[in-house]
Amino acid sequence: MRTTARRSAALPLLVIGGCSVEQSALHPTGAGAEQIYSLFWVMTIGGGLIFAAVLLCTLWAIYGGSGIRRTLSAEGMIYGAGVFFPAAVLSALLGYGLYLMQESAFASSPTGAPQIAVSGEMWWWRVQYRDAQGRSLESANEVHVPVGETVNLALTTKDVIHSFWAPQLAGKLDMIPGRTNMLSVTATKPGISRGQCAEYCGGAHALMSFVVVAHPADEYAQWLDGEAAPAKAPDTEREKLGQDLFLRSGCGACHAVRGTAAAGTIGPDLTHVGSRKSLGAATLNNDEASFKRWIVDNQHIKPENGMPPYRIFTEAELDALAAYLDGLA
Amino acid sequence: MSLFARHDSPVIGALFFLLWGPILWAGHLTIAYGGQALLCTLAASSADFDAATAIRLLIGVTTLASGLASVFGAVVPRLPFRLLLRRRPVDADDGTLIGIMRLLSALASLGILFAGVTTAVLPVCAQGR
Repeated sequence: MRTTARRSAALPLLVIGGCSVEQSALHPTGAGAEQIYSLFWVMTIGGGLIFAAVLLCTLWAIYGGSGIRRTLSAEGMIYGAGVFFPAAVLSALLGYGLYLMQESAFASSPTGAPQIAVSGEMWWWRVQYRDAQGRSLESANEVHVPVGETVNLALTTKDVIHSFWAPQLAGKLDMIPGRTNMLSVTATKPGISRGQCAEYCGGAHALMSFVVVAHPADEYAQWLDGEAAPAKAPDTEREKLGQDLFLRSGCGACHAVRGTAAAGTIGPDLTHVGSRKSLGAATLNNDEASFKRWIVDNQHIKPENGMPPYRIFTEAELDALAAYLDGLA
Repeated sequence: MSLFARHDSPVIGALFFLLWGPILWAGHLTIAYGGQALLCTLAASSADFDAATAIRLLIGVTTLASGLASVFGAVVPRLPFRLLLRRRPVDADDGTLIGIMRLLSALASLGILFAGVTTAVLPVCAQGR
């Protein structure tokens, strides 16, 4: 009884949790998401009105007089409200749906638009940018797009089926092994939102999120320039010790830090990891404490992820390593 | 006596008559979806194969044939009635059977049209979602 009461009390919290703006399709900041938002309200309001009308007719039939019942059961009413009206509504919705699908989901990807390759990997996102000059660079767990410009996302997967869903930007699209699915997105407002893998892909599926950053066009070019640059050299003695530990302890076998000997490709590229909005695919805040937690205890934070926990470092070494990684801005 | 159990007409015939439209609709969906999947698979393995034309032709012909047959059932139900029940409609029960069949056939015609139009309007062999 008490358990049921606790669960009932927790239900409103779940509902309130759904009101969060940063991963809500009800706060669109992309052209595709805006169309989905309009469709949602057309369907919800239209469906609500029809449901209310059916309820009203039901109440009339139960409590109304025989005259009302005769009207409701007349052949014209049955054919009109039961056949012709649904047929007309469904036809209109089909036309509207087909129009939206042509405009968004099936719109051909514009040639010459910036291309971002996103690969779903259990349980993080490899993101590779290729700009108009043919410059290519790699990052992870963040998708940066320019506002007002259509960007082609080439979606693939390294292992199982994932689904790329940035609710504020566009609809979702599956990442299927052996295929490259193209999704064209156009951000309409600058800002930061959150995305999520929308296809169950294993134990840590729920922790496979990402951040979408929509920049004004000039700011995007600056960001891209910064991201293309090699990693910042360590500033302090502590950061230098951290870099030394990073390179000596084998971290570079899995992670790349451009401008150093670390050139691993198994895990996320860490060249500018300190400038990212989060760690562990939007699982932790990006700060030194989170780096330390992740290095030592990542299997508790994200069970079965590809990185083993490293408990070989002393507290001082861990501090230095975290400082170095946090300084890679 | 129920609508179906009459000594002078086959029950299975009455069932097929009643489901004239839905059966055509089911056939149309099977050919449309199955044919499209098959032709898209062929197109993926052969660069010379024009899947779009083949699919539009297949679904256009299937939609036209099944749609017309379904509309025909809704407009002239007495012919399929005689064909499937091997007798003429005689009483109120037969009238009810015909009424339900016409309604289902009309709705099935709409369903066939919806699926056919969708294939004509959207790109064929588009990426999986």
